[in-house]
Amino acid sequence: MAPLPYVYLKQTAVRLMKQITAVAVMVLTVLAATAASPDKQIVFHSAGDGMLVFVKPRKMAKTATSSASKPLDYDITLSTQSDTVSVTFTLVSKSASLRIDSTSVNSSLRYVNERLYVEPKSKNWIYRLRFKMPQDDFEATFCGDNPLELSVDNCGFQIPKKKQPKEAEICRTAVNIIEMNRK
Amino acid sequence: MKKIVCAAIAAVALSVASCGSMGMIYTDYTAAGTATSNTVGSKVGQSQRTSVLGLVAIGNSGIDAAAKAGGIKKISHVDVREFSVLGLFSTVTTYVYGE
Repeated sequence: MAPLPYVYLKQTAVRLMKQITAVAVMVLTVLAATAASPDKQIVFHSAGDGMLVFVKPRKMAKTATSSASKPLDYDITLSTQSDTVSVTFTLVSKSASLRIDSTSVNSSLRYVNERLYVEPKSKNWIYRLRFKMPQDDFEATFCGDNPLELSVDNCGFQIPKKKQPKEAEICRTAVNIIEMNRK
Repeated sequence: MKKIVCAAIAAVALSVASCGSMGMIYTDYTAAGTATSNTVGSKVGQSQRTSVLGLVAIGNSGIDAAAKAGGIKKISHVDVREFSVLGLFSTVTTYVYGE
């Protein structure tokens, strides 16, 4: 059997690359369209006499001086039966001795943390924590125009100024759902 | 070349079809998981696994992982959300509700 000519192989490779690129673009377009809508980032369901709203996990970038190893992963839960908002987050740090008793929000507010678990992973420590804040404070900070800042001990995180409007819109949507279903 | 492409499409279609009610082009639905006799609580936990191109799959979408992430000790019920585009990118997310 004669070997395939180089030109034929090259043309086949180019065609294959074009097809892969087209499929990748299609997948990315669908993913982008799905992620763009704020309500796609929210899960809501009835809970007893009220409603529970869950904002799917978001990411918050490290600040320049942060001692955290990775960006912060956080999710938010609101309920029509409560005036407080629950923020649950995962902090990753190389330090096993972080002071995790409280979280500072925008440097001006501070809330007591509930420790869900602390466990080692590779060379890091995973801290899973939760704090509750009044809904008014939540609307002033998470739904505000100023970039949101959270810090635990010397681990600081901030939403970039460019992303704050989109993140705030998601939080405002969650608050609106709660308010419209509150009796 | 055409045979290879057709075979690849057929393989994806078969694998997607074998996954019950998953759509071949686009899937985004929530299915019932488990329910218990515990009252519906105010906490939610999420866990997720992701698959890319049907070649790489990572993550943990287990109920235990979701309950742990949400600090839930008494589970009231579980929902499972499946999302897929062309069977090439897919996620399975488990939501655990409870107290």
